[in-house]
Amino acid sequence: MMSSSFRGDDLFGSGPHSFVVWRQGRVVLPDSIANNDVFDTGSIIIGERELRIEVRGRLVSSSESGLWSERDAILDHAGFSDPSGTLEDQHGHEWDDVYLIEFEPIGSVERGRVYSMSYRALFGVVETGP
Amino acid sequence: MVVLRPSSVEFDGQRFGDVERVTIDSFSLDMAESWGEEGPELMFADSVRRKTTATVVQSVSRTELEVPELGSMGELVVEVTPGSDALARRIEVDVVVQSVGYAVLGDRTRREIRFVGVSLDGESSPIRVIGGG
Repeated sequence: MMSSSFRGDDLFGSGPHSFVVWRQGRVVLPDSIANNDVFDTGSIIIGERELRIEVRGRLVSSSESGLWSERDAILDHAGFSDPSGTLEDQHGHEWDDVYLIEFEPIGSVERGRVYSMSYRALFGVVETGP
Repeated sequence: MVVLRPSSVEFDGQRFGDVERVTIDSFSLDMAESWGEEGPELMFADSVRRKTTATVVQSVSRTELEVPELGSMGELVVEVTPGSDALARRIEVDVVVQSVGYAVLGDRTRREIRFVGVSLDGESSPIRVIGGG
């Protein structure tokens, strides 16, 4: 099993994590909204859905500072000017030219045998980047 | 852990007589658990909310009007001397009194005092076992 990566960095390897690709396909808008007519029952294709990939997992470290370093390493890719790159999961699936859109800790830091934190990180293609 | 017929038991300096047993239980109230994509098995587990309880069971053979106050905090000290000083143990637990109850069975009366362990710094165990070397 290989490690996952974003722009070549192993960001999530300290703990278990999994990838979920959000729904894909076309975006269809009801004509009633497009034409501002409640009696217009048709629909119109206005484009393709932008790709979204969610990583859910747990960062794990033997120290509080180590855990925050792991978190900071992820956030280093989420700044306004940070470039897009290739996201790769543990099974070799790759998504090119995606941005780290947001990173969200879930709940508090858990302090037991080790320090750990659940999170979700959302990646995706953005038509107009920074 | 369980201590049968300890040589002495004290709470906050108050000695309890005729103690039949002291039990100290530790358990997890919350486990952090995580699975990955590698397979179906749990890959991470940690005990992140823990609780310690202690119960002192005494035989009561005379009228008792003074009981530990509920919610009071102190040190529960249990001393064990199983015949040899080399094996003597002293168990200290920082506790708060949870309940005091009595059970009457025939002409026998038992008092059961339940405690909840508290860690003074939130990190270290409320239980300390001293001696035995």
